[in-house]
Amino acid sequence: MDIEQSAFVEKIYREMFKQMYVYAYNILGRPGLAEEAVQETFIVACSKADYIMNSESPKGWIINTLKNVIRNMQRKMENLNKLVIDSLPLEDYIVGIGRNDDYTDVEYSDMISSEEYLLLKKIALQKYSMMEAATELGISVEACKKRVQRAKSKLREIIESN
Amino acid sequence: MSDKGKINTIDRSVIENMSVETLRSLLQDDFNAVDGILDTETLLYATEVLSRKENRVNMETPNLEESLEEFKQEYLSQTEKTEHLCDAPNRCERQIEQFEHHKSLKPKMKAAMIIAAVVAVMMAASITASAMGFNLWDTIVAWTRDTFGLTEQIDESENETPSQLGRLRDVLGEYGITGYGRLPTYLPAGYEEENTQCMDLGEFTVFSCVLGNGENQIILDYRQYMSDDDSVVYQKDDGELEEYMAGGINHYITSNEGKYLCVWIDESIECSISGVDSREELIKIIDSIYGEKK
Repeated sequence: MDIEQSAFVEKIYREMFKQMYVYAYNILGRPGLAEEAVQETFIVACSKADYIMNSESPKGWIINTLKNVIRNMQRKMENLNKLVIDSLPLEDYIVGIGRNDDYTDVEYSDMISSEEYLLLKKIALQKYSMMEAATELGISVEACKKRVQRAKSKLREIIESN
Repeated sequence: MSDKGKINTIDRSVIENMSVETLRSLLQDDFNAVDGILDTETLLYATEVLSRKENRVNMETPNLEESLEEFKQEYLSQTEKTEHLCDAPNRCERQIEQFEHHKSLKPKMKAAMIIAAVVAVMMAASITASAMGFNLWDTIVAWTRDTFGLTEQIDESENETPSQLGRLRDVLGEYGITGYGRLPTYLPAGYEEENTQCMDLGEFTVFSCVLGNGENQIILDYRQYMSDDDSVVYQKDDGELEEYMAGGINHYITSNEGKYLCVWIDESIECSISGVDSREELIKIIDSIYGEKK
């Protein structure tokens, strides 16, 4: 983004943050997730700054994008929630897989560590936002997203193979 | 997506006098309706009133300045870092490995299953929406990522990329998406490249090229996802969604704010072209991707 686009996005952020947060909170029911929805919306806005600046209704575009972001978040949360719930009966096997001598022939890279599993459970069951999880782990939001993604893929593979 | 047909006649005094529960319910209803029921101004006013009333019962909104700072540091800096990285030629190796890995992911569903799923979703959604008084064909397609059909081999020597898309082609190549020759060879007259960038947004990376003619912009987006759970939804105007077959791939055509857009999936990459003035021009652009002349 150039300076003009950055200034435009920041202006809209300032103008709409509170209302967007209230809208998202009303739907998602968690402060961290609501703020994340707003920030994710503005990530999309940054990638489309040119387009929004020329839009007839920048605020309308932002609100529609916020709704789409919330729907995506809900869908992902539902998917992750289902995956974690499906994995709960296998928890001892999944997390203990690296320590159990019976499974020493399984490659470690395909296993999910207890830390990874705990991270998924916090996000799926305790509705942590990425920012909350990242802060707790002392890593960036971006790193946290990637860690969640990797853990999710591993868990899915383990569930599917069982 | 416009505000056409949405509620904009609620008197502000009526909203002012709504209880917190009624306001919450109103906003929830707006969210549940796929196209929304409130126009933007009414929606924003309702959230403002709700915020004011909730503050009285100790619901705190995060601090704006802190949130903005956090956004710049945690989100925006990451995006900008990637943009800068990719603005410089030959410096995008960082993610090639990532994409190679993703390219090797086995397809989760067969094309037939996807088509069936999409049809099922559309039908189920149409029934629900009709019952609610909405026409879901006026809404957004629920996307899955996979190919929708068999693609044809392309003779890339015949697919000459216009100079405006040269950087986009190079950036895709730098990311290991080589052999991806599916860029249009036709663009409407007068459009020049304004901006080409790739942004790593964590769950997906978008390669974007903005073309402009001084008055209008056409945007080409190519998205590479990191998981099968991720997808993007597209905004559109009222009106039918058209399916257009080219190169053995189904292309979904619609309009948004009076401009035409098209979305399709090719070899696990989700592609879109938006901002085109007319359907005819859009069809020409699509056909040129596959060297088709009709």
